[in-house]
Amino acid sequence: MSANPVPLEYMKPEDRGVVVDMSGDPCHLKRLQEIGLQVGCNVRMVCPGKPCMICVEGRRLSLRLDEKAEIFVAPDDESQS
Amino acid sequence: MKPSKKSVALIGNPNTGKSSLFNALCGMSARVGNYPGVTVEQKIGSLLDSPDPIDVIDLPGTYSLAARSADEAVTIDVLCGVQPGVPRPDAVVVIVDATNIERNFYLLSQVLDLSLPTLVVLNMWDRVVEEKHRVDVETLSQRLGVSILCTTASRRDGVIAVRKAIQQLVAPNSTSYAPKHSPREQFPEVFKKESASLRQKLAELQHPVPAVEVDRILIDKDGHFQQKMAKLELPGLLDEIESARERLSTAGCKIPLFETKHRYQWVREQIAGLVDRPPANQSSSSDRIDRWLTHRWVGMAFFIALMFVIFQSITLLAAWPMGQVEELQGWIQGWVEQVVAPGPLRSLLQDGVIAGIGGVLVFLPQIVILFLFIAILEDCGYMSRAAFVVDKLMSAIGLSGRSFLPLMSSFACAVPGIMATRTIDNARDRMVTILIAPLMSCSARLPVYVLMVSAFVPDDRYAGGWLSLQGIVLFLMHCVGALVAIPVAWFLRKFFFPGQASTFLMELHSYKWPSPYVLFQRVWERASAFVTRAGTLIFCTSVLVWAAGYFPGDTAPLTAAQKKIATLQAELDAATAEGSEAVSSQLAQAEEELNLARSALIDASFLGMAGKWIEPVVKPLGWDWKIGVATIASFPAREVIIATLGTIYSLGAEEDEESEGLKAQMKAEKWEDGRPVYSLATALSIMVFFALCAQCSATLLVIRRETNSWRWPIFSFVYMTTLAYLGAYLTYTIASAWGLAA
Ligand SMILES: Nc1nc2c(ncn2[C@@H]2O[C@H](COP(=O)(O)OP(=O)(O)O)[C@@H](O)[C@H]2O)c(=O)[nH]1
Ligand SMILES: [Mg+2]
Repeated sequence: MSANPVPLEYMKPEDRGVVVDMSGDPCHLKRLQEIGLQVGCNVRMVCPGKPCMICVEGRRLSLRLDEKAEIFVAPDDESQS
Repeated sequence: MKPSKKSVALIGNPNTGKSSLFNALCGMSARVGNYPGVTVEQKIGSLLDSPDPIDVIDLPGTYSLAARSADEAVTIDVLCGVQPGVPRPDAVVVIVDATNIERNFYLLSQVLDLSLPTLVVLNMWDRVVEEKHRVDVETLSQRLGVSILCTTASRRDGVIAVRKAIQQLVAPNSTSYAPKHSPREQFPEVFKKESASLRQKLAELQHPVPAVEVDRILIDKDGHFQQKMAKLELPGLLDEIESARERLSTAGCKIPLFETKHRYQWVREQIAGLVDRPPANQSSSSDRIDRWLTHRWVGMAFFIALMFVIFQSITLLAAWPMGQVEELQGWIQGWVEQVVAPGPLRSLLQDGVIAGIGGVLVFLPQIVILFLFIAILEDCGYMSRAAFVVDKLMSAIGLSGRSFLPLMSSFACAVPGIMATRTIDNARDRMVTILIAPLMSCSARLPVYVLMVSAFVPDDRYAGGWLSLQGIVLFLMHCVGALVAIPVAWFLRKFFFPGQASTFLMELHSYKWPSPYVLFQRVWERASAFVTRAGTLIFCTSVLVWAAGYFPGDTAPLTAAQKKIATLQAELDAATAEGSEAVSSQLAQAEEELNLARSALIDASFLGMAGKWIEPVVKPLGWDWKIGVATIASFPAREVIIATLGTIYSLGAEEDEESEGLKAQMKAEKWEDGRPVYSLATALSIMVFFALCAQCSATLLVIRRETNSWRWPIFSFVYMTTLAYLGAYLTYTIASAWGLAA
């Protein structure tokens, strides 16, 4: 787990990782957290882009973030190679 | 003791099986859906097998009590007992998706703060067993201090235990189910202090509010409860709330994110060591389907192709049943002719009732097929993928994929479509969606298109008979409204509801086979609504139009001519071979008289007088006065046009065409100079007019209700009717220039 965190939008299909940081408008972030996307959860990119589709703990979410929001993901080792 | 009826509310995240459990508990049916936000209004049923009557309320699904959209506001209002018409529930049943306990318990932690007697139901237990999760239900129940039951609502497993538990939950003096502790106790001390002092202040202002609501006022910036407080206009209150938030944030308690932090922490403490689940990040077959269906181009092409196939199949599949219904209609016409003597009664039955309502009911097969397709798409989980695909387009005009689901259900009917906009959390997006939803081509337009298309578009087939020109035109007509909606939405968003572009966040539930029960129920619901409308609203309009077309002219020549024909017919049957020739020519002459009497009657009628008046207005659209009158009569409900055209042409029809149905009568209509009234250009202009016009009182009323003002229904009516007139005019002009008017 030594890899540097990358923003969510740089993940490629099938990249996996753990959310390490979220920043942006607090109200917007709160909604993401309530639907299950929070620091410490496992994510997998299914379909990158705007909007993107990700798999969060086995649930599929589609999201288009507002401009200011950033989600950083620490990639899993295996998906790095 | 108040003897009033007890009630319990079902609450949970979307798609956890609330509606399924509701149906299993009550044996009644709320709609069950596989996309977020089918339950837009709370449904109430009564618990089966209960000695005392207990109401069960099915609430819209939500991830949190921090209400953002209108349907989430309904949920929290019901739970707090402030929703008009619904008493505060005596107990809550929280339905938890047992395969995703951590996230679902976030909502549970908020519900426990309400201190209502609570029951937790772990639903989807079949999947827990199948996917080998481990949940220590017993210990979990002890930690939470509420009882927990496991169910598989879709198979009705464990439902009887839930019924028993609900009865105990609301029984008088039952304390065993009230939650022992409230997660809000773990909030930081500073927050609890601010909340208490705000509560004190509200009480001093003669407005006591429960602690939980005060929390929500403080935490949710510009949220539902803050807006409510703003409406009360208590002096200095909003400033007080704002400064309390500032004090909190300097004290290190960040509004609103501290709530998720503390609640998730509480959840982790509760489930620590009790819940294990297999790693869920493997790709599944659902993913492989999704990769194609949500691909930027492939997904879009698939969606358009799907819609195309649907409208092709409507034309192909409905032809046979439609023919059968038409035959039946002709048979009843003949029967009435034999049984009822000529006169006003026969005319009312034949021209008013059978030609009117019958003409509309002929289209039931098409409508059923359309509803079936929409229900299948909604229930299998494809709709939320389509929403994902179109989000890119929608964001270009300032909307989000969220608006797609209501718009798509407006293709069946705009009324539930507009109600479904309650799931849109951005208020501006919601308004724009409400205003463009009536432009989507609803099922009431389908009969109009089918009538025009089947009468005036040639039945050319391509690709070995699988592709029909009529189906293509039908599909294109359904695109007209949607295409016009794009600039309208852009315009509205830019000039009427300006603001930041909205974000998009939606859970995509996994695909499943649509349940036949759900499909049947939904098609039944809509089809019976269609038939009821035909029996009530359309019936009344038909009778009115008939009366307006029959009176006040002199009906004596008509009745005389009909009697003469009847006697001549009898003579003809009795006459010998050489006598029959003379009788035949007399008969032909009598029929001529009858036709003259018919058109004289309708020309002299109220309808004819009104028609002469509007003819100049509709002439540029390529219409004659009869189409104009029929269109005006169909402003309360657009499918009325079929009934009114049926009545008008049946009244004025030439005798020998009467039994051949509306299509033949339309083709036989002539201008005074002998040209046929209907050409392809006229048919297209009628269809475009109907595609764009706001001819539905039910829709306007629901816009009034959802926007709480008369301004927006009037606005919709004016802009749509103007567009319709311009669109029809352009269509007729262009089609005529192309030579389609001959
Ligand atoms: N496997 C499984 N599926 C269920 C269960 N309960 C409901 N479902 C399905 O989950 C979907 C959502 O159900 P619904 O009642 O509409 O959920 P709601 O959104 O919470 O009202 C439907 O397709 C149901 O058939 C269950 O116990 N097990
Ligand atoms: Mg539901």
